[in-house]
Formats: sequence, C-alpha cells, structure tokens
Amino acid sequence: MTSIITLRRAILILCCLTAVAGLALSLAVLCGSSGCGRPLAADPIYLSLRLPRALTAFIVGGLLALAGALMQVLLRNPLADPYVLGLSGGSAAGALSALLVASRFGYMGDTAAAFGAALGAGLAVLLLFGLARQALRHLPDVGQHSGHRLILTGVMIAAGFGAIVTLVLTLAPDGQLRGMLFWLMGDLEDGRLLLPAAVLLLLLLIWSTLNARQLNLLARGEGFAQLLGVPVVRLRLLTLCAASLATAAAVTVAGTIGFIGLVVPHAIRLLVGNDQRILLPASVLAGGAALALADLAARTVAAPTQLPVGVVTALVGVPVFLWLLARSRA
Amino acid sequence: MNGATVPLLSAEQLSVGVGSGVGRKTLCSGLDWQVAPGQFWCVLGRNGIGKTTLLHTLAGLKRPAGGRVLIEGRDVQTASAQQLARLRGLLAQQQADAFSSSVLAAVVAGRHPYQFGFGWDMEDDRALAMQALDRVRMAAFSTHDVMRLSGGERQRVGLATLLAQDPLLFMLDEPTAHQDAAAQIVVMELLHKVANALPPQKAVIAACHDINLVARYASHVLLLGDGQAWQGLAGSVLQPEILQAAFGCAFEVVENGARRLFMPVASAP
Repeated sequence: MTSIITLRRAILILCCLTAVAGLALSLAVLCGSSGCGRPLAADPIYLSLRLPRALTAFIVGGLLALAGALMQVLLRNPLADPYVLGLSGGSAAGALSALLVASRFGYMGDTAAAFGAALGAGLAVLLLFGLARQALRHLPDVGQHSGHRLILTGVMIAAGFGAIVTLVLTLAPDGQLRGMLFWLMGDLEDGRLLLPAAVLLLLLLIWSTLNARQLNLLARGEGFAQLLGVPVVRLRLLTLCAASLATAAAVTVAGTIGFIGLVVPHAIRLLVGNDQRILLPASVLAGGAALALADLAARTVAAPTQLPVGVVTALVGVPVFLWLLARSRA
Repeated sequence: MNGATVPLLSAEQLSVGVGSGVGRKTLCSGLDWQVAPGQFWCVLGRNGIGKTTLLHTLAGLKRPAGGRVLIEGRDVQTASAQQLARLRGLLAQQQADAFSSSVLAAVVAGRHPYQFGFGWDMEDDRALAMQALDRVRMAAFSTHDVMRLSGGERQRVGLATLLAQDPLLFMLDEPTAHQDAAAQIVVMELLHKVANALPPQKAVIAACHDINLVARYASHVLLLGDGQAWQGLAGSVLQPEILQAAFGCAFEVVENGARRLFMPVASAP
C-alpha cells in the first residue's frame, strides 16, 4: 500500500477495526472452557471473571502494540518490538526475583511479581537512558541509518537480565518453577491493575496521535525531520518514554507476552501504510483484539487446562511474522 | 530602496570540524561569507575537504567549531526548528528510507512547516507536491514506492520535497551526483530558476563536483582548499591556477565560444 490515505479512508479503517475489536471482546466474554452461551445477567462468571479478563487482555494487547509501533518509528526499524531494548528482560528479572524472595518469606506472590516487574522495568529504562545518553542527546547525521547504538545498548541490557532470569530459575525451589514459567509466558488472570493500565493506554494514545505528524517525519529520518522543523532530540526522548511506559505497564499487568508488539504494528503497516496518524490507533485496536482472541484460545483449546497466553501468541505469531517477512523486501 | 542587498545567510569567523576529542579535525576555519538573495553559489573542493560538514553546519544540524551562522539575522544554533524550517532546506547526499512510502507522500512531507496541529494534509498541499514532482520530471512516479526508486530518481524526489518545503535558502549536497546527463541539466536549470526568480528572494547553495556545470550555472563560487578558501563571482574564482591550487591537479582550458571548459589533466609523473 503506497497510496496516500485520505481522511475518509482513515475513518473507514478505524471504524472497521473498532467493529472487529468489539466482536473479539464479545467473543472473549461469551465463550469459555464451558462453551459459548448467551450471557445471563445473573451469572457471575461473565461479569466477575470473563469480562475483566477480556478487558485486561484488550488493554495489555493495545499497550504492547502501541509500544511496538512507537519503537519501530524510534529505531527506524520495521522489525523492532517493545522488548528489543531490554524492558522485558528487566521486568522478568524483577518479577522472578520478587517471587523468589516472597517464597522465602512464605508469602504467595501475585502482588510481589507485579511489583517486581514494575521495578525491574524501571531499572531497565534507567539503565538504557544512562547508557544510551549520547545516542539520545545528539542528532545523527543526515542520510545515515541511526539507532544502532541505542539498539545494541538495549540488546546488551536484555542479555544481562537474561542471565539473571536463568540464575533465579536455577535457585528457585521446584514448587515455584511452574508459577515462574507461567509468568514468563504471560498471564492475564490478575485484573486488579486494569483501570490504571486503561487510563495510561488512553493517555499514551492521545499523546501519540497528537504527535503522529511529527512521528511520520521521524520515520523518514532524524535529520530529515529536524530540517523540516521537528525538534528531533526531544521527540525521540518522549517517544522512548512513551514506549517504555506502555511496555512497563503491560508486563506489570500480564508478564512478558511476546509477538503482539512485533507482529500487529507490522501487519497493520502492510495493510494501511505507514501513516502514524492511522497506524497508531489502528495498532491499539488490532493489538487489543488479537490478544483478547489469543487469550480466548488459550482458555478453550485444551480446556480444562489453561495454556499460557504467550504460547498461543508465539505459535500464531511466528508463522505470521515469517510470512510477512517473506512477502516484504526487507 | 537603497541598492544594498541584505544577506540571507552570513557566516562569521565560521570554523567547522568533524569528530570529537583527540580525533577532532578542523576542516575549514575563520570563514567569513555572505549569501544574498538571487545568488546561486556552488561549493567546490576536494573529497573530504568539508563541503558536507559545512552545509550541515550552515543548516544548523551540526554545532560549529567556532564562529556563528546567521540566516535572516537569526543564529541557527538558537533559532527553533520550526522557524528554521521555513528559512532553509537541505537536500542530503543520500536518503536513507527505512519504511515504504509513496513518492507523493514523501514530497507532501515537505509541507510540514506550513501545517498545524493534527491537520490532515489538504488538497492544495498535494497539488503543490504534484507540481514539485513535475518540475523534477518525476510526476509519473507519484504512486511508486520510494524504496524501489533508483538512486538518481530518489534524489530528484528529495529535490521535489525541498521545492515543496519552499524555504528561502536552498542547500543541496551534490544534487547532480547520481543524475544522468539530461537530469543534471534539469536539476541545474531548476536551481538557476529558483535563484533568479524575480523579485530576488531566494538563494541556492549547492556542493558540486562538476566544474563545467558550475561554470555554466552558478553565479558565485566558494572553493575550499587546504587551510584556504576562495570566494567570489564564478568567473573570478574559476581560474586554472586557483583550481590547480585547490585540487592539486592541472587544468587545461578549452575556449568554446563564450564558454570555458575545464579539463583536468594528469599530473606529470
């Protein structure tokens, strides 16, 4: 798709995606391990279990897709994802360490995991900002691909945290291992942070839509954007903050769910083009719908066993991504 | 009206350099230079002498090693990006595209300094972009993907983006480098027209390698040499002795009617 998107077409695309998202959410609420059924208002399963879970999946999916789309613009790399700069590693190391410590004190730890994840993600962001200070503060040369420094710093941070995760898994008592692995693959059971996460998603979506025109220029090149009047250093910093916040919120709520943040923005870009004014809101809707459906599959495919939702997103995401890669020229 | 022309760009004791710390290298020092509306300057000099660095410093992308650059009286280091976008534009030596985009969308991006808020681009922005594409002979490519264009075509799309941006000062880094013979003429004619439009408002600064194209189109020349720079009317700077001093090779001059052609000759063994 290389045509210019008119306003009318943009509205049409967003309406279609809103309808798809609504459909996905209704399916996720109506269906479960006991089959699909009409909602009885009195049945507590819908309101107290499935609705918050479906909404959590939608919000987390939206956060991850938005973070992925922003990272792809920031790094000017269509194959970047929210975790590429080490945020997932940091939050996983934090969450698992917290679970380990909590178990020592005989305390069961959903809250501990969420707290540890937020702390770890924050630590990873601080490390990244500290180490990549130079790359963020200066404008790269015009016509040069940039972001290598940022990306390599992030990859190293991720590798360091990966070692910590392995260490914690080795030290953990056997009884804890299963819970830890489930956390690593993503878990949407805990809906307590739903409201703050939803508010954050809304705020970030508003910020990125307001800055979408400048992000469009940034995607064409840092020097190019600066020449056309975009304060690039500030915009890159804010974009990194926004993407980091979205990622940190998503992993705090649900663990490190993979592939949504990579595949969804990439697929949307192939479908509607690279205009951030439409790509960013469309990614949020599609990411939310995709994760709600993936969670539905995780709950129902092997019922009564619940699969970790990360397994489903990976099993679907890998072939979809390879297919997208094969048809692109990258 | 007094006849004096106000400079559009002025460099005061400007020094530019590359690198930092120990590896720092100063390329051009103590340059005093003024560009007035209506002038078409070409910057000549050996590879690596600092033409690109000078252009990027003039455009405000790089901090000068010393001195300052004023465009319309504003220091480019302190002016905001938005202000500068209407004053100067720069066509880089190459365009590094990371994402697919239509040629037309790439040119419409040049209208950014004139759009406000969340505004969707308007019909007239697209019309201006089409006109710009037409002027660089790329109108037939408007729906093509920029990542599939050849190097020369991509540069001409970049030039169209600069036309759409429509700044007062056009800066171009080797605009003819990737162009075939016919397209070189198209580009130089176009720049000549931009500089010579009446009333004189705009100026052009282009880094070039083709001395004969420069002799034919440029009104002024800035020739960078080692620790020395020559500037002035094209005819006065483009002299075989000066060129030899700057490039380190002899030039044979062929008189062809009113036109002089400069042919580099191999230096004696």
